[in-house]
Amino acid sequence: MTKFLLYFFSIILLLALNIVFPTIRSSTPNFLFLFVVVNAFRKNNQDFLWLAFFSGLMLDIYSNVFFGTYTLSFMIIAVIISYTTKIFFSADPSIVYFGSVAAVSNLLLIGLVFIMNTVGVHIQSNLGRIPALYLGQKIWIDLFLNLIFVGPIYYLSSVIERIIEDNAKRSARTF
Amino acid sequence: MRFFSRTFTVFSFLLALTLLLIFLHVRGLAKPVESTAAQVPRPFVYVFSGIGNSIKSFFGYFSSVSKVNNQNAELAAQVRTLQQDNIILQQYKLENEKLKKELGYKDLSKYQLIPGTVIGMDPTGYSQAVVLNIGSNDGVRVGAAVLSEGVLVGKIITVESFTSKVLLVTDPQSNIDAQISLTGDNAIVRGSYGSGMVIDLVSQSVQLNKGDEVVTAGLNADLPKGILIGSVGELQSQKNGLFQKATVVPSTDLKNLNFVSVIK
Repeated sequence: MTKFLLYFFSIILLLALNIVFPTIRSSTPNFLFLFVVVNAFRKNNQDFLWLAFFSGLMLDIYSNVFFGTYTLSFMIIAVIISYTTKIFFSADPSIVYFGSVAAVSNLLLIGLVFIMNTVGVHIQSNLGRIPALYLGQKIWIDLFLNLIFVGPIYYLSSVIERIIEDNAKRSARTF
Repeated sequence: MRFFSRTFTVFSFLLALTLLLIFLHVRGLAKPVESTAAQVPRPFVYVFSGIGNSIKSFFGYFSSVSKVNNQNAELAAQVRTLQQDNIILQQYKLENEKLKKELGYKDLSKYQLIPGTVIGMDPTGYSQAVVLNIGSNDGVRVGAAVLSEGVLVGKIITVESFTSKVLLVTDPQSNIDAQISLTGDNAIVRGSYGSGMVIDLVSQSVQLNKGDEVVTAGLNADLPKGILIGSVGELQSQKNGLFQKATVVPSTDLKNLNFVSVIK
């Protein structure tokens, strides 16, 4: 229950922060995306796919892109990160590696958003096509902002993980 | 191995669920679920919005001092011009009132307005949309025009009980039937990526000048005639084109919207 509440409030708080965060040339850090990346990166996190699903769903509801774009993108990215981390990295990864994962994931997200929006334009005729040129300008500011905020989100995720672990230990001791 | 089989099962389940939700959304059947989910972050959005506005106004004060000096000089010059214009307009007003009485016109300029505050932007930056703190409980309905200081800023696209979403005129999905105020020629104002607008489908026979005011044409029942949208900027059309096209400069700062009014 504690785990559910912690994840629930984290998603809601990060979404609210995303909505009111001032935009810089149409760019803004995607806190929910960073939260998904960080959780998929943690080896002992079993709930990363659920987090990706609900984070993406909330962004889909609040944003104006083709519905499902963020849900599917977040889930695909979460699986890729989790898979590569578990297969290729046994030791504790460095901050450089983690930053690279976040950066590559960000580029992948923009690619997926572009593809799904193009598909969405064919399904929903009232949807606006995102021009590649606009996306090209937006990518780098998005990436820069996300890399700045990945640290605080990683810290938030660590705090949540610690609380969940402490809670689990306490429950085990009670039994 | 167990991890991958578990991940695959969860992924498959969630993928199926997402595809189902997309199907329901496209068919318009997921509205109650979306509406309920959209209500959940509302209190947090209010809190963050309040904190964000306080910080913005605190820093905004320092950065605006030099701007204010320049604006002051410009405004003084404008006041002199406007005083002269005002005299002419007063004469037009008297003449207009007489004409209206004679023709039995109803005064169209009196809209019933619902005041609202902008509490958030589109969180992804892929569309120009804002969230207002007023919803269906306040009388807001889909398609209603949204004004800021009398200038059209957008249309309501979704309405919840306590909030609503506005598609700004600068969004590429926005199409507004417009008119060149001076000549009365019809055209279409479209949004374009990068917070801009273009006026399109202007006949080649029309003399389009920089600074011409663009207003709503009133062809749509939700958008009354004569609401200011912006002024003509740079001409983009070619001489051999069928229609003329030009950028439109918004008459209000759409990036810093705070208080707006929705036409009932």
